[in-house]
Amino acid sequence: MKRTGIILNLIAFLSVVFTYAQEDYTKSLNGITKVQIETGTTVKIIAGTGNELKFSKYEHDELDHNHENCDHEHDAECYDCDNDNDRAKGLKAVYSGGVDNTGFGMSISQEGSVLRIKDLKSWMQRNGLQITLPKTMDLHIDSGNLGTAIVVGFSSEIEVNTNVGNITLKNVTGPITAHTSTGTIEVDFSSVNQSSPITLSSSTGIVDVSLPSNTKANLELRSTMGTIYTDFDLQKPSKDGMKVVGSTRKIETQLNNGGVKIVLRSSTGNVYLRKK
Amino acid sequence: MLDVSRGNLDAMAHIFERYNKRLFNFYFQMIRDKDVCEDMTQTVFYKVMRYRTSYKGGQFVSWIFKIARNVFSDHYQKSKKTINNADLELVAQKNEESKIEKNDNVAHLHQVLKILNKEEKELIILNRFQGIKYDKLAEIVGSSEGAVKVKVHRIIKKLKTVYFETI
Amino acid sequence: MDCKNIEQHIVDYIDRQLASEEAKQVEQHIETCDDCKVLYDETNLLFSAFKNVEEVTPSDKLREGFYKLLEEEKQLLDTKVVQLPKESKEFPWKYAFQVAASIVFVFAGYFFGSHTTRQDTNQEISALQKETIELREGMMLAMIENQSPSKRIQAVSFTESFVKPDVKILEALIERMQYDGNINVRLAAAEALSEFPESAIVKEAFIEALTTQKDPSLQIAIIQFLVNIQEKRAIAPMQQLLEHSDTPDFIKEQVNSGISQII
Repeated sequence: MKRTGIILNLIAFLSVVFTYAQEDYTKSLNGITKVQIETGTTVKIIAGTGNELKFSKYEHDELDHNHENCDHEHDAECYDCDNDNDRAKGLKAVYSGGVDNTGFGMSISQEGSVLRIKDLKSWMQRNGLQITLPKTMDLHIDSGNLGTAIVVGFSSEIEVNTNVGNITLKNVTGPITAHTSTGTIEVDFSSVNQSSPITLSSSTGIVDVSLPSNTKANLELRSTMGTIYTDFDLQKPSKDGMKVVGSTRKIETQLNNGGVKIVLRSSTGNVYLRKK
Repeated sequence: MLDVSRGNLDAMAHIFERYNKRLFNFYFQMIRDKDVCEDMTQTVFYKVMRYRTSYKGGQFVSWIFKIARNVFSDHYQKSKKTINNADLELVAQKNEESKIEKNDNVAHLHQVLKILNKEEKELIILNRFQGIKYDKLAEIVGSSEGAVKVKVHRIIKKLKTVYFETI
Repeated sequence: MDCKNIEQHIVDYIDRQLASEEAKQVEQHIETCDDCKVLYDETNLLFSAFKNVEEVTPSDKLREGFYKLLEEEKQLLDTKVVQLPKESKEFPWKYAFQVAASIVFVFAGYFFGSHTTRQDTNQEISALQKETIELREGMMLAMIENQSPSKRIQAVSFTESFVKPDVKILEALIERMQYDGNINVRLAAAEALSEFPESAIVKEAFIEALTTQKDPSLQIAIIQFLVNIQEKRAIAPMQQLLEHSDTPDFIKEQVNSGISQII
């Protein structure tokens, strides 16, 4: 056991050394089932083919509504601002949050089968982060005050928490547990995993969800002060399905004879449920 | 263990062979009563079988010790209700005396361990007798690695003071 | 490094958990500082006492008991396969409960050593139902600390079927509402707890949560519960919320309408 540990460490170390000078950073994910990401900036996670982790240059696309911070003339710096800062030549960056063991101002550590990635740079210097991971990897994303989270093409469990930033999930299956204080949550499901509940909540933002028309689910839609919109033919809710609890409007109904529990909730924003 | 959670019960035998002594010794350091410890160890394996579907990968050691801890606190709660603490202490002492301690240091250590409360004792036994590292320890008790480390260090300091005061 | 630093590092030094640079610093310091040398020696002595404790071997009774248990479990697994088609329309977890309940039922017989095999069928069924509830409680408690938030929410939702849950269950839910790292789990726990307004510990927990929880969605759920049960003790903390500058306006609205309803 110990020896394999040493070998693994050695491999990890060598891969750091060899990739240091390159544009992308990659790391093998053998034995990892969940990746936890802490950052203060916009983070985009896309599904790749190999069983590895890759940091690469942030590419803007239509999913990304929040790139005003980014200077497009310095696209490379957009990924890592002081990469070629002459002043820093011969010096090493030190961070209060941990040790940079990637060469990109990120700290990576492993706890059991969980890989923790901690962004050491402030959001001022990190205008977007793009990470490629296998599509079956469980994800846990915490983006600090202003960070937005974008996840595309994952069939694993996803947990996302943001404060002001939006949460955009596309081509995912769940289980999903997402919360934002003031951001918008937009989720487009390719299919719905029936194994355990899906919960999406925003305190003051909008929750907008698209589901395949044949999705089986036990739906719970709540909005305290907003309105709920849908183009699904909701089965006539039972008498107490439309009950007003305090001032929270709660709708409980089944889609296609019921299935996994899906809870969509906003305190003051609207909730949109679309059929596709 | 993933094998067991998928229904292969033969793998359960491997788990038993691998962990029964460890769990038994964990309990034995907590309360020095062989019969009760055997019962508790048995209960842990029964629970592992019963809840095997709820194990979803990850550190197995942490998972099984989590169960072991729950079993112990159940026992602890129950024994608090039925016999009072003085009785417990008596049982413990009787057992200890009947056993010939080969090593004075060890006997002394067991005396010193008595000053700890249940939670402290659990932590130090898991960390020092069972050699469980802080990260796994944190998983078992549901805390953070840093917090567990600070706690363990504090307990060591406390033990040290009493150990050398009374030697 | 000064002595205070060294003291903090000594345990890790003995455990060989320090980076080589740090280890060197500690080593050098111990050689020159007598106080820290004593500290080091004492810690080492204490640890060697730990090492000298001999492992105790459990009796054969344990092993015998375990293999007997395993055999019984295997037989149950075989019968389960035959029954499968009948009930497969249920959700998997419901089915799992049923199978597991029957396992527990047989085990219960084994554990309590009741050899009265000719039991009345009705008795068996009612015992089985009781075991099913106990098992759900057990499953809930086993899953409530799962690292997956979705699983924790699922564990919380198991309590929907409980009429009068055990204190243990309520305490587990209260812990989730107060301290879970995920806000959605805290919310789900608060909603589940709202179903048990007659419990004193639930009321206490909501009153406490009113001052400790900062997320607006959760605050609304807490306020609504306290208003519904007409809890007079909640008025003072609610007024405090009104005075707080970081309380959002829409929460203040909720509080105002809530207070007027309680009085």
